[in-house]
Amino acid sequence: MKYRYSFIIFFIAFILQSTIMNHFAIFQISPNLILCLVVIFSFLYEGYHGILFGLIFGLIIDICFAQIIGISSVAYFSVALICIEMKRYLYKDSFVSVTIVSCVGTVVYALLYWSINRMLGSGFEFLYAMEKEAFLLVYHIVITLAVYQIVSRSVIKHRGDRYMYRGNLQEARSLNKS
Amino acid sequence: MNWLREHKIFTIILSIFLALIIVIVVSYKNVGNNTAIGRGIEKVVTLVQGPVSGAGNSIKSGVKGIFQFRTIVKENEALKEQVADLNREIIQTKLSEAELAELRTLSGILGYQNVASNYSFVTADVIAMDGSNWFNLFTINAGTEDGLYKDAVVINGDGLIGRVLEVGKDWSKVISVIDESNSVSFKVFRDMQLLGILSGDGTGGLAGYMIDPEAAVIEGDVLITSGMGMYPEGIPIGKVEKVVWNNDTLLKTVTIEPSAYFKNLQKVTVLVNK
Repeated sequence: MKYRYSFIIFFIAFILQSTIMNHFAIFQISPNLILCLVVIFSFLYEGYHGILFGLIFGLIIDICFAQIIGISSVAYFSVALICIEMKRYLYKDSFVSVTIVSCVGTVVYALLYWSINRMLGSGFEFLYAMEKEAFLLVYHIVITLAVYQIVSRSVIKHRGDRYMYRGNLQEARSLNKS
Repeated sequence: MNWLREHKIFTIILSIFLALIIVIVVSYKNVGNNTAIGRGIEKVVTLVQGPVSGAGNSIKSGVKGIFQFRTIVKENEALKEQVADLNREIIQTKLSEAELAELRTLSGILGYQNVASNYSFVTADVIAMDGSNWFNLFTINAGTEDGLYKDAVVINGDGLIGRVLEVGKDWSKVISVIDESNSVSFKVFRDMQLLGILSGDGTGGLAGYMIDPEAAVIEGDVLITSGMGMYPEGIPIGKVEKVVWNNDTLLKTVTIEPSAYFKNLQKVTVLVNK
């Protein structure tokens, strides 16, 4: 994917998140679309889409909505790094992997965001922050899986190939040739 | 230097982290003072958010209209505004008459000007809210053009919302009272001799303590701003939910349920000095 397209997707998500999503929040909680995109773009796509736009949109979010600038950016940047690292251990072509990555992303983001804010004097209690994260976890998994279903066809080539391989590489190659 | 060249990715990541930490430290030292670049970004973002937010609002009221008659929705909105105005009026008029008369006599003698009459009201739409689920910071579509300034008090029909944190030409960033680290001085509406101080409690509510440990505050008491500090007198803050005597601090602490609902704000009023 080209960087200009991912920029447009991130920008649309940012606008939706700050305007319309608040009207349709359930239990007073609205999902963090930018976080979902950072996770998906870092885990599924090659290149630095997630890391770059996580950084940029983290800064924009902080400029627009936070007292202290840079906290979201650090959190998105770290989540993107972790997702890129997780590529080495998890296959892209399973929805279980995406679910795990989404969970890890949500939890890491919440912990980092809370702890940096706490260090800088915010009074939010840990349990108050985390009980919201429980709902958010479900939201983010659903959104990430939905986006995964849409983009997986273009991102993962030869999705059915893994069923041909039974442990013997030569056998798999001969199957491919035939 | 060779080591840095050999570990290019690590160096880049470390430099980004360092740069972000510097940004955090600098903005922590200058809260509410954005740079020209920040203001530019926020202006551009606000330009897009305004129409989208308007569209979102109309979609929401449209969906409502499917299930209810449109006229009822309109009537309801009008009534809500009317109730909000009336509530404000009640608070103003119910401020003890005798006290008021006394104050007026005093103000005549001392050449004191009435605080309430020094303010004019600017109504603004909330065009964007932060999606963090923890904080309640939002952007409104009024700025220096409309006479707004930093620390102007923001209210709505239900009560106190917060203050203007940062102001641009046609937008302002508002921080809610529950996110504030600054304290607010309050008094009990039932007996205005009872004074106290409150601030955000860290769980999305408000908590405070009475200045007089023997103050007879009870659950259900309505609290209003006392007029000390930046908030003018008479703005409803919330209702007392729980009163607890704290043995360690020897203070009577109160938990307060805010009268305003911060998660779904659409219109707010800003008090501006005339």
